[in-house]
Amino acid sequence: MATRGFMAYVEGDTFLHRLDPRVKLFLLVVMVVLPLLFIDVVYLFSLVLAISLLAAISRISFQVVFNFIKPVLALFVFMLIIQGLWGVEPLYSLGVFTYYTDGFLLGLAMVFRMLSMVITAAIVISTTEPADLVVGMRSLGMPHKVAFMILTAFRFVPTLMSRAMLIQDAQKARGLKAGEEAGNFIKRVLAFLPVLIPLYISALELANKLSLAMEARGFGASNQITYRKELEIQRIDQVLIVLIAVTAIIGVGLRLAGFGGNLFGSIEMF
Amino acid sequence: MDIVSVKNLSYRYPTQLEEAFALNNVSFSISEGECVTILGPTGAGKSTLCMALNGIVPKVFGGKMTGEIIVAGLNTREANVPDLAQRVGLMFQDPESQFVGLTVEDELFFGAGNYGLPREEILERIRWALQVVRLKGYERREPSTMSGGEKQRVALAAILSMKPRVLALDEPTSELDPLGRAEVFDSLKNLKEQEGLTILVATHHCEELPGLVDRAIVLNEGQVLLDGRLEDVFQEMDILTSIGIHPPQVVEFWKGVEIRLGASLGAAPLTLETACRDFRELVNQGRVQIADGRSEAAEFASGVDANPASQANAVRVRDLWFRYPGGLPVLKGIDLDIPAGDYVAIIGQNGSGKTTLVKHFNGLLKPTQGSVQIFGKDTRTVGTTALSQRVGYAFQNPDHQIFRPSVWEEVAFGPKNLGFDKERLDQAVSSALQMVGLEAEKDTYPFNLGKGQRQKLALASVIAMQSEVLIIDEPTTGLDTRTSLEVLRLLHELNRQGHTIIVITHDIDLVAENVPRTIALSQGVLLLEGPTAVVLSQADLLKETYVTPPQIMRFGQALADIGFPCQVATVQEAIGIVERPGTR
Repeated sequence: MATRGFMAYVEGDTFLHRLDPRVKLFLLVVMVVLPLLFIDVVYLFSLVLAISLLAAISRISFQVVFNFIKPVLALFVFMLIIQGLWGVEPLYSLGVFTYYTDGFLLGLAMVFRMLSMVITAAIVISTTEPADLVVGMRSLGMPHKVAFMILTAFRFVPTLMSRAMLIQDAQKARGLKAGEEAGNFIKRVLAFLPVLIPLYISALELANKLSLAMEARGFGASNQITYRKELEIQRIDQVLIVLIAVTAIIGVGLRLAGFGGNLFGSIEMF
Repeated sequence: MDIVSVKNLSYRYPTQLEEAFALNNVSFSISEGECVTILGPTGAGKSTLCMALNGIVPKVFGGKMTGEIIVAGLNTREANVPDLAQRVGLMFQDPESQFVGLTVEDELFFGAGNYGLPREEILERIRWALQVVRLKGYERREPSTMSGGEKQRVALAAILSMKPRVLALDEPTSELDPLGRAEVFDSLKNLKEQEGLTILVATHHCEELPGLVDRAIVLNEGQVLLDGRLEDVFQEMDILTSIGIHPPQVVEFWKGVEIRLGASLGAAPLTLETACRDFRELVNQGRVQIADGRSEAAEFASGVDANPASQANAVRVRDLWFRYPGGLPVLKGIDLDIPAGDYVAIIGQNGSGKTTLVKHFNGLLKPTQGSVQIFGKDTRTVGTTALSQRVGYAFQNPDHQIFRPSVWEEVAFGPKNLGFDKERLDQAVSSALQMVGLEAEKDTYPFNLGKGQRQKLALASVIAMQSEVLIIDEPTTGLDTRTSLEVLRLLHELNRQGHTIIVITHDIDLVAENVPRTIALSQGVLLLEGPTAVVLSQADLLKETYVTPPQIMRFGQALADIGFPCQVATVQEAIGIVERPGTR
């Protein structure tokens, strides 16, 4: 539902929805660590491809995944341009600026790294009820309070976003010029202050009220907490754990054997 | 056996000065199954008292507490908060900020789950709690998609699933529309009658209390002013109104008639039904008679209509349709003229399109179809900044706009954006501050002001922009009656100075007493428009948008057969219609 805002759980019944949250957390950890081992774009691209394939198989809509990518899209472009300005092998020169091949490859590698992480995060978050995520983290040994804190952070993203819109409207009504109307870059950044300060204060107030409401409902009463769902490892979960573990071992093995650690490794083969 | 016993309770917040008290020597006790209301203006100590019952005060807040509270056998000084919370369910005013779960089911599971109860038992409790608040089948719904009344009932069910023996509700309905208020009070009645729960409800809305509440404790400045049966406390009109508490309108009417006639009429009835019955009896017994009120009411209605003498239109709306991208239409073909110098209220249930409509007036939204003209200029051709010079808009929550380090600078933000020169800026800010009575606070840090004063600050910051049209969204929500009246007096003064005032509100009694013209919206369509008394008298049509006319108006309409005029919208008018027999 749109009201849940972007970057949130989407109701559904795909095989990923039914997967044990712990398996998905495992997937997330592997897909955060594995890309960091490699710098070769071909290996990194394979990871992006593999995780995209998983998303496609389980019929996660492109729109859902794209909602996660959208906020970092500008960063991708930025990295490709900036990284390309440093290097040793010139690709193209324009006046004082030179664009380098190795710089570009490094930028691309970073983009692929982030992309595989973001897509995995999209898959995990959009198919796991936040409450289950807490149960999963808890059963993996994370303290309840920490797991709950993470859940609450997610829970309040849409609330704070809609509040930010409201505040922006209120300030616009007082003649605040926002976005392109504001003028140059510095003025645009300054135009955020009238929105950010009330938002910050309102977030603090929200946190205060929430903590009182939680006290009133016995938060921290006992170490023995009952969760709505009990987790049970099914056959499909076992299969996935093995698959992910094998992928991780192959990845680490390849890297130890000396593959994928060179920026030009695969490119030079062609 | 007393389930709650409070003895010589005094409390001071850590931030409070040495001689100030949030609660000052409060003593009372409540027996099991009793239903008690705590009445009092903002700052009287109602919330503090509620939070003291489960130990949050002083255990979470700190500060100094003397005296003692025993709740269900536990001394709040000795027991810890979770143990107390299991016995005293405390519910807060704002539903939005007390939800921890994404779905209703998670929300209800949270409290009992914290105590590690068996899953089956918790699920059973959830079923029971949802049934009590009449939200069966809502398990998988998300609170964020629900109405205010539904949200607050979810919050109530979440407390109930902990099976408390005492319910303490801190202003559970003050952020709700009338429909939501009725829903919550229905649930409470259910709980009282079927479950025999002990209930404490802090509020300043009195109309819903009779029929639910047995007893009232009136607090002011941390002290108990009155404590007694509800029907007795409501008779103390002078004390109540002196602290800004208004008993139900029929009580005010009854007491007012006694003063006008200089005769005692017996105990004032508390509900609409009993008031109608008792008043008929008085008429039948020949102790009072109804004056020929037709002329007065007609005069009232026509006097208003003649007011803005069909001059230039400040707002002109033609066939306005609006939908958010990818959504259903929110406004469906609205035609509306608001003449310059008008003072008009926009009413209707949440989701009827009130805010969406007025956001078109200052260009925050642009029509999907149709047109909106402000002083003859189409909003699509004028920028929001240019429009904000002509149309000021004060949003509901003042805290959503305050960001400067001093009152003066806060008020100056708008006029500066509009490019006022120094001289005009100084003049605009000082006169705005003077108008709202904050000139002495001009160097104060805004968040050191009380809620009512912050509301006035937000108003001043819009007034200082010197726009011809002022839109005020819910100016009285969360304010007590006294501060609400001050705000409305201010709006009246602005209107007298020539500003066009458009106010969005749920507070029908305040509309009836203060705003000459009213527009009612229902599901994106203009339902009614005209003089307030005429609009409010259309009870059948208003039902469509969940607006209930003021109690005194329903009283008049119920007595139409014995000659009570049905367009009497205020208590003062109603009193003026009753006279001694033989006066004619």
